[in-house]
Amino acid sequence: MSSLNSLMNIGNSALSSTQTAIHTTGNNIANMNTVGYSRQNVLFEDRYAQCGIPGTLGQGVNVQGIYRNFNRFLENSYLDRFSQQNRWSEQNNILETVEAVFNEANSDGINNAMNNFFNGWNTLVTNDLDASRIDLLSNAQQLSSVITNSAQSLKDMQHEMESYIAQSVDEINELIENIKDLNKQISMHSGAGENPNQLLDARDIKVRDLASLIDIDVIQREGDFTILTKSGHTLVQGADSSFSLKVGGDRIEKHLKNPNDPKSYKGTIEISGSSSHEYLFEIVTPPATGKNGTMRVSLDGGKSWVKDDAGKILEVEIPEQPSTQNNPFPIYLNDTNITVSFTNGDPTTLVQGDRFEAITKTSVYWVDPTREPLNVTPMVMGDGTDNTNRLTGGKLSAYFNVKDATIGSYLERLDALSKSLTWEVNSLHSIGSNKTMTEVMGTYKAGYADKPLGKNTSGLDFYNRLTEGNLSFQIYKNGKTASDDGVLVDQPVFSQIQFDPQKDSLQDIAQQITACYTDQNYTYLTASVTADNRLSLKAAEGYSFIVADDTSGLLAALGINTFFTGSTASDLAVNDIIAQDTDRINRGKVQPYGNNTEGDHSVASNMWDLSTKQVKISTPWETRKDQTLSDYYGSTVSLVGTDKRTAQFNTDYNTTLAEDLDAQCSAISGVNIDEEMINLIKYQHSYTAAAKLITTADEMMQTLLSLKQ
Amino acid sequence: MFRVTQRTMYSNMTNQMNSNLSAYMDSQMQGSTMKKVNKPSDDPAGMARILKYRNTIDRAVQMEQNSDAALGWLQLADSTLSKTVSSTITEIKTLAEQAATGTYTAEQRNIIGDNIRQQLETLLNAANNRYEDKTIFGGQNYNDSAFEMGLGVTATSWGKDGVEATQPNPPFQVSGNLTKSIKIRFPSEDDKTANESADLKVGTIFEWYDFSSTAKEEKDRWMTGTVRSGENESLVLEVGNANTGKATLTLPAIVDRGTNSEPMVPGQFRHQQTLKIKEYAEDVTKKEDDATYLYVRPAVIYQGDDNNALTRVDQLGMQVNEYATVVDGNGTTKQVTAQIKTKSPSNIQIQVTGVDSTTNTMTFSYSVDNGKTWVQDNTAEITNTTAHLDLPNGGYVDIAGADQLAADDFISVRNVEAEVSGRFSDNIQIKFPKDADIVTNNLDFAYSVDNGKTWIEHNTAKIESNKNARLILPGGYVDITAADMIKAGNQMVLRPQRTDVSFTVLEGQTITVNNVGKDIFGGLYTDEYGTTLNAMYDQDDDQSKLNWEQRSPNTFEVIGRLIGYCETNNQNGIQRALEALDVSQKKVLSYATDIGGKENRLESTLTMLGDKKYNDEARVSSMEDIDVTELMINLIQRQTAYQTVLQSSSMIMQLNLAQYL
Repeated sequence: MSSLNSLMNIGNSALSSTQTAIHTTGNNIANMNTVGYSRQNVLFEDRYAQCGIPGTLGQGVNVQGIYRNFNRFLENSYLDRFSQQNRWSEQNNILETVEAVFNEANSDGINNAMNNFFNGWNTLVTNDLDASRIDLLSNAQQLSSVITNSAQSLKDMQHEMESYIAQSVDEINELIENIKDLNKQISMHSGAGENPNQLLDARDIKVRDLASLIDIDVIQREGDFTILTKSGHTLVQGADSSFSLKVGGDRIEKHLKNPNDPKSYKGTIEISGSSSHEYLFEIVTPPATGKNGTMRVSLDGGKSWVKDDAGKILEVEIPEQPSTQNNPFPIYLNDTNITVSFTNGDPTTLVQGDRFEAITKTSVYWVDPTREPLNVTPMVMGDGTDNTNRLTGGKLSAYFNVKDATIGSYLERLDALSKSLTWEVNSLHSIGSNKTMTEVMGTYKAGYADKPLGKNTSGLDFYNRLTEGNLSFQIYKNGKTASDDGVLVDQPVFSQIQFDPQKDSLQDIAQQITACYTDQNYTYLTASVTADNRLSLKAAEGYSFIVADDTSGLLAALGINTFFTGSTASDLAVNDIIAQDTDRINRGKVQPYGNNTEGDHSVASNMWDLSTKQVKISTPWETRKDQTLSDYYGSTVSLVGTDKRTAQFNTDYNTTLAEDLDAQCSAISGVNIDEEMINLIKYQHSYTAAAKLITTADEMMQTLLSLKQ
Repeated sequence: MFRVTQRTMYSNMTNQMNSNLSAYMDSQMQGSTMKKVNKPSDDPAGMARILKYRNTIDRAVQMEQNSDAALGWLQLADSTLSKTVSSTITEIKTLAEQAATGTYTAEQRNIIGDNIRQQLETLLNAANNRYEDKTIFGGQNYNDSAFEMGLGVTATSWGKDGVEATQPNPPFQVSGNLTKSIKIRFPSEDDKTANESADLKVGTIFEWYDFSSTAKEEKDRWMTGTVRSGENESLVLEVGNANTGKATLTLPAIVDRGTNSEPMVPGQFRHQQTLKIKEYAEDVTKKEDDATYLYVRPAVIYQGDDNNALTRVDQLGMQVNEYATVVDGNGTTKQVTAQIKTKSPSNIQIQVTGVDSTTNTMTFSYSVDNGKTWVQDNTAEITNTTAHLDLPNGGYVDIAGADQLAADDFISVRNVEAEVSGRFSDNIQIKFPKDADIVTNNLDFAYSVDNGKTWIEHNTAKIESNKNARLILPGGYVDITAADMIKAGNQMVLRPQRTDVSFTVLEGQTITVNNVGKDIFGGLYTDEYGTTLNAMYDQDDDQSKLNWEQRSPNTFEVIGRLIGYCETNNQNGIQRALEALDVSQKKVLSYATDIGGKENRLESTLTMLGDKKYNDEARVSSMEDIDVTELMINLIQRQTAYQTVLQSSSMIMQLNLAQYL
């Protein structure tokens, strides 16, 4: 049976519940714009009913709890997309800056400078004037500076990326720590009837922050809250977690085929130079005593192997002797600037299948205190897809992709362009002549004076461009005036300097040259090897010389009578000899008899034609022979544009999806003012009604009490 | 139904405004640059094409400039030849016609000679004409003058090696300066035996005519001189005095030049040149042809470079001089190894006359001129089965396996030699990938025209029975002797003398803008060995010298001789020169026609280039330039879109339930 007291109690419960509801509604309105705030709802339940006559009577209302409107599934879908959106939009932003380096649409860049350079040669063909030479020199200097500046800008961006990477990894580690702490607090407060909504919201905000940096999977089971990277590496597991990420630099890993064999290779490898790639070396033929071995190289963890110019898998020679400080035996890879040496062990103990991983760039590792750090650096494979065993999303991936895959490949292309430009120009220039020389020193160094120049162990930048061939000089007895070249001296000995890149070393070639220009009474031309392994040519007192011919490319590779120095986009420069004396610009070739004729312009016209000639250009990934230098640069610009476009497209695509998912999340968790207004009115009315109930009960009580009078 | 929250609404509105505004700004950017491709990502593939077209246009502009420059060179050459040169020759002809008249006196001819000298100056200036400070008739040697005034020698009735010469210029080199031409004759010692043929040698007495002399008697005006020896076994004649000016005539020694591929060391193998002269005798010599007269007269000497110099062949990697074939008395062939330790001569035939095994000596005769002359009775020592054969000039041949030789063995030491025919514009490299196949008599070779960068492989030459092979190359061919001796890895480099200044006027098309002056004007020139040669003469059909002289197209030489004949009062000579002037004028005009043809070609090239450039520019424009109409429509569309978003957003923002409560 109902009692008036219980009626009061019902009113009381209704009043306080409604007040809670109004409070919650108010809180919702207040947090309308709070980031990460999830709309909260009050869940009412009716109190236990009393059984009696005439029936069951309700006992009022109870607030069961305040719940937040949140959908884990939607949130997880959003996180995936959010990671990608962040990665691409960040990539897109950075590429906008990179694109400016290659912007040829409205400004003059490398393409224009290259054209001016080639046109300068044509001007020298038609106008053989000092002014044309000076003009050409300044065009060449402009070309080299615009290329080196572009390379420098790209490198600066890479450095910037490195600082972003370090910051991001710090942020990630802090977030991991925060989430771990929140997990602890949440589990403490998740008792019966307790809903730590703020803590949950706070944690979800942190998780979103984490997802903006890397790609993650969130698994919530019972009370356990676990975060993994997409590639499956745990970052947070409940309240106790000691996982983290770490930025690392150079690293060498040895994976021997028979690690337990006591006779296996004890040493390690050393790698120098920096590159945007991770290298994997695999022994193909182990070195044996008296015989060099070979290894192959992969840039994508063994998925594909670096090929040589002919399209076959490149096999790099390994010397049989161990490398020491005095004897480093660097191995030059196909057109890259990396050198490898086998140290502290006997290379003949290597066996086929032994692998070495080498990293010479900033990388990120997943640290599990119980294990070795694991490399999770984002990586783009040879076919352009992401390596899914590594990080693939978030800003951190953007920084790595931009640094290694994007800018890295542009730099490689610029390097390849500079290398081919230098080689082609130098090989044309080295066989030309304009003025006799009395002394000249090569600009390119070999690693060794006694190793065959055409092998990767020679240490010569252009070792792989040398071919079997021969060279000859013409010797002049000096004239009386400076402008007079003097009289051609008949070659004292039949000229036959023959060069075999697989056999002849710098010393051999120096000896051959000297021997060739020595007769019974005189050495007209002396070739020697300098202390830093460059070739030096010096004519005898009163004599001078001119390059007559070279079919081997040796002079171009050694930097004798050349136009450019350097072999990468970063060190491309005009040869000092030419910069100081424009008369050293070779316009033509020497005539077979007599003196140099000033009217020959075969070198200059060949240079101009170089702009339309298809040349060999190779990066570690590929070798092309069907493009001109300008075409190659054009395709590079096009590649930059395509990359930017792809980033733009992916940004748009992922942003749309992410926004849609965010809208869906927001549809559940977000605050709608109108709705809250309705609730407010609703609860206000409830409150008024509840108050009315108490008033009514009071009146009833008064009525009852008045009965006594 | 989708639940719309304020957060969604506001962020949506912001996004929409942003995207519309950014599209609007893109259009605005296109409007400001008038380009639709403003950065590579606007049209990545299009960007590459735009760059390619820009390069093509750049090249076309360069080729236009080249054509312009070429036109400048050619027009100057054309007007020089067809106007100045031709009219000057006509004037000289008029003067020569007068001088050829029988009634003219020596004094009158002298004055005409003076006039012609001045006309020759005009011609010389024309031939030295410069375009932009570069000589247009000097080949590639264009900083120096193409021609210089000098002295030359014409002779009558002279001979060489016992045969009467078929050209008027004996091989003298003349230096010095004469105000007028001088005549030289060689008096007979006894003054009786005229027409006597004698060798010009040291001590030969000669007489020269002193035109400045005031002596009354004609014969007193002849001064006497003696031939003396000069440097390097040359013969020297000195004429003139303070009034006439002085000239030195040098007859240089003959230098054995060795072979094309293996030039000699200068100074080696030099021998005195012999000239046959007919002596003069007062009573007997009536006609000019009866005795040798030397006319020292003005000549124009070509200083530029020429393209009939030999193409130099550098043989590389060939172990030359080490092949020898022995044919014994029965005709059987065997091979022995010979090593020659001197550069020349390169081909040696050795006839073994006896081998004495007790004294270890071998007697032999040898020939260094392919068997023409033999040096008999030589003895060689055999040490350890190697015979050591001494040759002149410190050279020697070592023959291995000499103990197997017997009398009557004929040893032929052969060398791979190359002779080139044709004109090549640039160096050609030849390599032999494998040994000469002596079974099928095939010689494989590869050649490169870009300095060894790319090779044209799998060419085969046939080795003939005389062991020669002809390698066909673009522009000519190379004949190789002892081709069966070629070994794998041998290389050759052909290095032609080049004279052309040529500009690229269309892709793959060049035009030569200069000329080799000696091919047009003639004159004298010095070849690569330092020998003075007549720049051109017809060697065809009838080689009788008078006929030849009348047919000479060598303008400068004809005029030089004409002056000489005028100043020495030789009417016959003047007549011969007069006839030749017609021929030489034709030659000059035919060159002018050639050049005119080139000019025409250039004119049409320029039109073509202009058209091509216009086309390419239109194409680039269509790729990178904005279509203004389209842009305006876009701008309006985007403006409208932006306005719509702004308007609708502001309307939605205003709405709120709270307002109605």
